[in-house]
Amino acid sequence: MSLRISLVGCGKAAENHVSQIQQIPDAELVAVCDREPIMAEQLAVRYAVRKCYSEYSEMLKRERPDVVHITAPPQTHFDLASVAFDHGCHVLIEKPATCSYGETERLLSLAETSGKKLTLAWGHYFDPIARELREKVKSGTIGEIVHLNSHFGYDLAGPFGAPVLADPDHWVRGLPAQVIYNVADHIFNKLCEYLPGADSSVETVIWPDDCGSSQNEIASDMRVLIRDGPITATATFSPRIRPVLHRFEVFGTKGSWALDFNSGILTTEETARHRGVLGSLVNGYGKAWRMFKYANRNTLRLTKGQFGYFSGLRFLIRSFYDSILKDSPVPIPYDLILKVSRLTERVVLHSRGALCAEKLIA
Amino acid sequence: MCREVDCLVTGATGFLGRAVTAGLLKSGASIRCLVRESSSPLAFPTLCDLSGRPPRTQIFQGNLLSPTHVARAVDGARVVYHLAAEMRGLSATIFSGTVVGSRNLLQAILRARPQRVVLISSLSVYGLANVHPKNLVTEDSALDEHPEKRDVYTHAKLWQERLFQEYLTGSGIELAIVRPGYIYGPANKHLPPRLGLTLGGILLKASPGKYLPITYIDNCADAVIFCGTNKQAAGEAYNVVDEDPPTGGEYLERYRRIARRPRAVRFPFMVFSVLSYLNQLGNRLSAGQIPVVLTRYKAACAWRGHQFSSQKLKCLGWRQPISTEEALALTFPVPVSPTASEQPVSMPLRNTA
Repeated sequence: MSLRISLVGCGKAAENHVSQIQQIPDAELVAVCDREPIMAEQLAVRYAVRKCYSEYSEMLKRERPDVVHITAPPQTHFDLASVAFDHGCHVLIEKPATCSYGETERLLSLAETSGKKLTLAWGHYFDPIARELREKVKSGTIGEIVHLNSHFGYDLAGPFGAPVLADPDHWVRGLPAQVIYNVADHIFNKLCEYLPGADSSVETVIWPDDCGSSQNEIASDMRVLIRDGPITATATFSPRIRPVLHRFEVFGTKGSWALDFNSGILTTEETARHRGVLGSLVNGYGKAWRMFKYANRNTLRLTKGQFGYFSGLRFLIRSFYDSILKDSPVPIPYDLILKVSRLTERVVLHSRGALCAEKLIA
Repeated sequence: MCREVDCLVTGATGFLGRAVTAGLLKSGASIRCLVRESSSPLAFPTLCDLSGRPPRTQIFQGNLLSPTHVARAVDGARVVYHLAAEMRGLSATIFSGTVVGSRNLLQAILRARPQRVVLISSLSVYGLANVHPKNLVTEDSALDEHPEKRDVYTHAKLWQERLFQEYLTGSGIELAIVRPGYIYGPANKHLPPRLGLTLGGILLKASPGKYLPITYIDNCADAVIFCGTNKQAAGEAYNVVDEDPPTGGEYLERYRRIARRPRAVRFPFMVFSVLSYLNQLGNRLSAGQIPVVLTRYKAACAWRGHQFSSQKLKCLGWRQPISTEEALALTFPVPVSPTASEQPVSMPLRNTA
């Protein structure tokens, strides 16, 4: 059976979805939709999608898709997903799910009551290194987790940041804490997966990057310290740190691992077998050798289509489609989505209107 | 209703926009500039320096994606020079900035009814994949029917031209389309894309012996203003390339005066075909993870050394104000050294006329 797929919102994120959907054998992208007809048409023409619409409900009625990808701004996610559920569609939503925890909670319960599946486009969460780390934690290689560190860099002059800076009416500016909220899922989903979430305290500092004029002032630096039972975690978001990094580190009682999402390399730190300067040298060469081997593995993965910037997104989309076809669990548990949404709200939403170096205690 | 002005210029803070506004002010025209809200006055110093702003310059801060902003900007303008376009960024950014913005502008134009509209397009709109390089490309040459096989910028510029034709044909509003070659000058000393493909800091030169379709910034601005003011220029499209252009190799030699990189290697066109094939093969093998940046179609359009004619504009009486030799000297000055000042380097340029 082949799934009929449609997409709404033909902006920046749409292309990533379309290019990956078209690599999945059991799925056919039948239509794209945007309220701006030119944007819908250009995407359809460039990716040879048969139909394009500017009326969402018309697309749903005529095309009767099995799955709708929602890549419109987050302010519209709840309404677009609700309509999709009404039309009997499963829904894959670009992150962030909605603009608040309450809305995300209602959206998930709507999915459950309608008997349809929902997932979020957490592409990096399914990158090969993230999946490998998951296996290592499960198998006990890391031991008990002691500390987690999630760092997400951002280039405000880059292809995503520049349009936000240039346009005072850009939808990202309408989000609580703007760009931070827009990427918060990437920062917090890795932490929430390993935090028990039973009894956590959160301390946050968020402050704006004033680029020289008040209209460009957007919340752009964030530091978070979380204590959750026996585990602590830190999270950093900064557009000032160069190079622009995307990293995640897990420190355990048996081993510590670092994920570099830019290079797609998972490395571990090993205790030096020899003391002194010789030990340091051997340790350095050992680490370099492990990274070299991992990079070679990635080259092999690339030739099989299993490595690349969007390989995690494709894995997620395929897993979601499989969960629909086989009626198996969705790739991202709903309680994890809620946990991330709740943490994001505690960290980000409470800082609204108090962006300048204000300490927040949840 | 806004105070009437001679001209509205969109994209006035860009490389060409600054030269066009300076030229218009010099000619005595009153102008209105639509600039992004994020632009600071420092981004358009020529306006401030030349005119002292009021009363001949109005600056409207706004966004082409906002129909309200655009309507305010167009209101009361006699000639609209549309220079604004997104040249960089993600595909969606380029399309919305270039095509959606143009559609908003056209809707405002139909309401405000200026006398003439001048659209700045590009030589890249021609469909050259199946045109032999010996055939001179004129304004009558066919436009590209498959821009989606090339790049988003070309695709958006063609779409933009099509929109202008659709909206303004039969509307009673005059339209002149300017298709400049690569615009260079002291503020833009990059290498023209038609010179070749830069990979990992190495320039793979394509057809280095062929003349480059380039135009000096002041010449191009002059041609744009000419198309906005000459009575006979309405209703047509015009290529703008300078006379006596340098070959790719000669341009690169001049460029070497100011920069050592990139290293350049000459390749026959066949190599570009092989690279295109390998890129597309890599894309298939990696299930789309390796992006397609080079296709045979794109290579055939860009790097076979096609020659362009701007004879049509000259027939109307336009002459480039700055010679190519002078323009190149202004862009790539000879480094000052004791020996150089005694023995100035001159590079003879062939005449293509």
